[in-house]
Amino acid sequence: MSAARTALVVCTCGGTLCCRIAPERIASAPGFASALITHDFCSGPGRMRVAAWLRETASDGLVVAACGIPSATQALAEVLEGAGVAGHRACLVDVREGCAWVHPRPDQATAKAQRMVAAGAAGVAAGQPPAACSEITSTGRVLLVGTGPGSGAAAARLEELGCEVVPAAGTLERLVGQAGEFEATLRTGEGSERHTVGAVIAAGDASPGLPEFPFGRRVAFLLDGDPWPSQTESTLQAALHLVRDCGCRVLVLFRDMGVAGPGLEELYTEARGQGVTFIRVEAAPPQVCEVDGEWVVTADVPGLGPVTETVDAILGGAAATRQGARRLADALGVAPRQGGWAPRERIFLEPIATERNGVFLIGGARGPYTAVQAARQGEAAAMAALAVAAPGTLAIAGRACIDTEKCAFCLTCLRLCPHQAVTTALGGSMRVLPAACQGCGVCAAACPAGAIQVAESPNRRLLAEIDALMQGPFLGGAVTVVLACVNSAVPTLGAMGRLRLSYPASVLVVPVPCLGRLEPIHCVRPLAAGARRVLLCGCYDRSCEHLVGPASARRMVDRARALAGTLGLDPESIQVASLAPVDWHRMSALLNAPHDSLKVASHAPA
Amino acid sequence: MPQHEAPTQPSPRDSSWPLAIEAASGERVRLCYGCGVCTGSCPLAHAMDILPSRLMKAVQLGLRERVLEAAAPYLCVACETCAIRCPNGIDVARVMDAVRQASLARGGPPPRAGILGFHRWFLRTVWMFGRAHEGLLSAGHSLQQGRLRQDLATGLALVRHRRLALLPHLVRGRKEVRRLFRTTGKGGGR
Repeated sequence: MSAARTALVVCTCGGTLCCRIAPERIASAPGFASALITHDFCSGPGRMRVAAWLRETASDGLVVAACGIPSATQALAEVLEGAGVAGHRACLVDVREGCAWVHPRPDQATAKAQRMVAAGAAGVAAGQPPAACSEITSTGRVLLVGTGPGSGAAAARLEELGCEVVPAAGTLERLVGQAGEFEATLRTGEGSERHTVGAVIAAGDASPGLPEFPFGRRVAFLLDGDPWPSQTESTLQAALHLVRDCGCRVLVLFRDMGVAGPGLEELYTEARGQGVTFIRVEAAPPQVCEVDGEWVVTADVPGLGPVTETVDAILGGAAATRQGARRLADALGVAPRQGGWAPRERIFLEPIATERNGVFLIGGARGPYTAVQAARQGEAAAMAALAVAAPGTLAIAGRACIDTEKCAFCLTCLRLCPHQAVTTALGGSMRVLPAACQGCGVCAAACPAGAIQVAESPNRRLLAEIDALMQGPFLGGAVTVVLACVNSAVPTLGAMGRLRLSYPASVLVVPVPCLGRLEPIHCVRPLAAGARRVLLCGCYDRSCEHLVGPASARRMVDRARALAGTLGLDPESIQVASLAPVDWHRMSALLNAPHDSLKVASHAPA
Repeated sequence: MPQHEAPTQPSPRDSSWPLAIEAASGERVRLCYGCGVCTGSCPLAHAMDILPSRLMKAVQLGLRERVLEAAAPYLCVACETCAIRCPNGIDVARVMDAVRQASLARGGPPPRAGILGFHRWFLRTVWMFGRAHEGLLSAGHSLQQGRLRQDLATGLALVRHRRLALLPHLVRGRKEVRRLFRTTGKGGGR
């Protein structure tokens, strides 16, 4: 059995963890061929020492009990490369933030660390080699759709970087394939033409001009809602223009003055200095009525009551090309949100990226940004496009892999994939595009035939980890199993460790790439093994990197509860919570709450 | 003092008044964007009927009557914390001063019973001794209010703890101080 040559490395983090967990007791865990206690796994010499030791002991598997910071992950990757151990045969167990720093009682902390190491070993034993690499050959061409200030900046930077820019001579109709080898179909006046490109940058123009001056001398602007930077900019510019150049009296009624953008703060100060009157309307929207051919605006000023102003004209914010943005998003295969604009609040994406690898939205195609912002986005998009479309051949191993023997060709994966990474291959089978797949596992969880496995979290490995965590009696009370999204819940738990926010040692954590990866079996298995509660902690709907994770997890939990009911387990003990990567107080409340009060905490507002 | 309820009817506005206050105070009230830092740092905000930041907004909007009726400007002790902290560099205390003067120039009754008397007693003690004397100030003010017994216990406790001197501290340059009073035409609150 291959597990015979799995090695264990315990890092004591410079000896600081020894007061809470006993490294010798962890290192003496059964099932390992060899064990090493080190104190500086993440340092350069530490990495080299561990890699040399792994070669000496001829290990082909590795479990590292260390901390949960990014440099430890980097160190692990480097050690694996140096020792020639495959990535799926290794595992990093966070016994610092996830154990020693949050459990004050040394006996409980050590017992939990042992359990975590055993789970890591089980996961390594159940690891699955990744799918065979496929080669992607990029021509280095980048398709540039649309015009605007961002487009020019992107084109200039791309040419400087040695990429060939293909300006779209028509409307983009369809985009298939993956980063490096997209196939774009454009409709032109004569018909349609096809281009093979490595990446796509979509730009747009959304800056409205200054208003004409046909109306009277008293003007009010209504800037309601959450304004985009270009709305703020155009409103302030227009207000300034009317006050300074036309001698108007200008009133701006706003709910939120969004000045987050280059030069906007200065513009706002300039407008106030020139005598534009600003009124923040907090609760009720301002009322407008017509009296004797004039407009009377009434706004409720906090603490001062209603204030009226008679004006000749009332102007709104910027009107922009919303419909066009939606059509473009459809053609690009990315999700439009917020009334047609690309989503703003998805914190895991760079400000230019989309959920589809190799497709970038800038300037007016993304939202009503100012010209300066659009140009900056253009430059950033050029650099990002170069990273995926640089000329040459790249071998990429797919993260999700479809077993064509089991596949029933039901197209469920094709419909559900949030990254447009599943396609039909020649010969009637499904194929995952390796450069497009981001390994969320939404397809794997939904596949009725169980034909899809994700390299990082194959079913076998997840179940093996859960079983190992649940094996044997446990110190410290009723067990809670947390199925934790690596984007939100895992960083939150890390932050709790750094803040020393303690929680019971009976809380056991299983990291998953996305809540969308989970199947009912993952929720019911811990309950069947004696856990009191299974908590699925993931992102909010609007911030999920994979768009559909929380929603599909909520649907899945309904099925998991039904399954738990038929097995005679308490369905209410499976709960879903949404949190941001910094919600440590909420997480602390969730983990420390007495079991009975938790029924209220589940199903947080999305 | 509880804060005034916001009126339910629109208040009258005077569009030239903000400029008058700006000229009188030398401060650019228009730059205020209502962040509320002045209110947050004001040691007397809890006692004011209109908070400093809202008073600034009211000046901006030309709500003259509303501002001149307020007691808040008379409660300002010109500690200048607001001026130090204002992100727009406005000296709110100077604006308060300008508003106070506008209120007095209008000749109306003092907006809150006793405030004007308190200010007069303060100046009177300065005129007498060259510097303020808290004992006489509070005694005279309380006597004028007809509420001598209200502050008596506190006053005696302060005397016992040597926080309040019974006898005034005379300043050497009293004559110069009185000359200042004469030059400004304010005869010691009399």
